[in-house]
Amino acid sequence: MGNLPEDDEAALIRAAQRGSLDAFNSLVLRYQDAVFTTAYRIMGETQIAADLAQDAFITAYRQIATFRGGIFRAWLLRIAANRCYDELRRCKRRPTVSVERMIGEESADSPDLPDPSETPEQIALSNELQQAIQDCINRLSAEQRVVLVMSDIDGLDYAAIAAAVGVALGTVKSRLSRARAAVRDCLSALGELLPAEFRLSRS
Amino acid sequence: MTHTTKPMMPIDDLDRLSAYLDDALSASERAELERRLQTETDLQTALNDFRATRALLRALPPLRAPRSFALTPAQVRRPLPLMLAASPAVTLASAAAALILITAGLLLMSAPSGRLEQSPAIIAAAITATPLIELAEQSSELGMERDIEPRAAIESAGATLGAADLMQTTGTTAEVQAPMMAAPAVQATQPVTEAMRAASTLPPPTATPLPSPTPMPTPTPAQPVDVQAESDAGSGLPLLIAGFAAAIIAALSALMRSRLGRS
Repeated sequence: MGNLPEDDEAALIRAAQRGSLDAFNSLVLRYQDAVFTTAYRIMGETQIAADLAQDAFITAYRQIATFRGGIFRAWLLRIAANRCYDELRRCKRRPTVSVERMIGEESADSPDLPDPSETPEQIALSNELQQAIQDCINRLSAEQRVVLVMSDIDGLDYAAIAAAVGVALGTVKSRLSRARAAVRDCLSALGELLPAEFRLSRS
Repeated sequence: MTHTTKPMMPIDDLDRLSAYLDDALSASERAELERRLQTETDLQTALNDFRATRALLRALPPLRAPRSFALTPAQVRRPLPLMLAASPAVTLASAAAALILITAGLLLMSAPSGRLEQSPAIIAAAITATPLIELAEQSSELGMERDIEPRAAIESAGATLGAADLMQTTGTTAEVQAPMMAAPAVQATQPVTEAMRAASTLPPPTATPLPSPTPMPTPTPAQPVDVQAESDAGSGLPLLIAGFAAAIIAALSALMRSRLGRS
C-alpha cells in the first residue's frame, strides 16, 4: 500500500478521468485509510466517518474531471474534509463529553488501529491517550476541527486549507492557532497520561 | 482555559507562534518573533506547548478503513430524474412558463368583461415579448394595446417578434410560436395555447396600428375567435396558480443544481 510509483498514479487518474471505475477504485484502495482517518478525526465517530468517507469517494469520482494535477491525496482529503464540515454544520452536533469521564473509559467506538509493525516510524501512543486526544478534538467547534485536522493530521498547508474551507489565509491561521490552544488546554488536564516528551508546561 | 495560572497570552502572539511552527510567517515577522523569544520566557513556554500539542496530534496513528470504499457501478450512477430536474433547461423552461402563465393570468383577470374578445390577441402578443411584465403594465387598459406603435412595442419588449408585429402577421406565425412556448408549461398552458390559436385567426388588417386612439373594430362574430373570449376574470386564476407552481419548480430546479454542483 502506498508504494505505487507516481507514474502509475497519474495513469490511474487519467484512466479514471476517462471513466474507468476500475482505475478509480485502485486509487480508492490506495487512499481509503487516509480519507477515513481524516473523516474520523473530524467527526469522532466510526460509523459516521465511514459513511462520509464513502460519500467523499463518490464525490471525487464525479468530480475527477476537474482534477488538474497537483497532489491527488491532498485533493481527496480536501473533498473529505469539506464533506465532513458540511455534515458538522448540518447537524450542529458537538459532543460534550467531560475529560474526566472519557479518560477513564475505553471507547467502544474506537476504530481498528493498523498493525503497529506497519508504521514503525510512528511514536506509539497508548490507545487511552489516542482516545483522549480525539476527545479533545471533538470538543472544538466545527470550524476549528476541520482546520486542525487538515493541518496537523493531514499535513496540508495553509493555502490548501484556505482553498478547501473557502476562507482567507489569515482566517486559517487564527482558527488553527485557537484550535491548537484549545487542544493544549484540554490535554494539559491529562497530566501523567502524557508521555514525558510531550509534557506540557501546565500539566 | 480555566486551569491557566499564567496571564493570558495575547491572541496575536498565539497566532504568531502557531504560524511560526508552520513556517508561515513573513521574514520580518519571523525575525521579530525570534528576537522576542530570546528574552520572553512566557513566549518560549507557549511555543513549547504548541510544539508539544502539534507533535501529539501528528503522532496519532493513521487509522484503517473499517471496510472497502471501492465504488460499485450502482453507487456512481446518478439518478436520472434528479439530473434532468436539475438541468438548466428545466430551470429556464419553468421560469419562462411561470412568467407567461402569471402574465396571462393577470391579463385575463384584469379584462373588463365587455371587451373580452380582444384578450386572446393580447395574450398571444404578450407571450412573444420577453419582458412581459412591462408589457402588461402598458396594456393594463384593454384596447390600448393596438395604439402602441409596432416599433415602440418591439423596443419596449425587447423581443425579436414584437407584440404588434405578431398581430400583423398571419396565423402561421402564431401557430409556430404556440407549440414552442407551450411546451415547457405542461398541461397548464392549454388555455394559453387555445388563446393563441384564437388570436391567430384575427383578421390581419384590424391589427394595423392606427394613429388615432379610436378603438379597433371588433372581429366579426362569424370567426371562431370566442373560444377563449367567453372566459371571465375568474379564468385567470388557474393560470396564476399554474404560474406560481412553475415558478416554484424553477426555484427547486435551480436549488437542486447548485447542490449537485457543490457536492
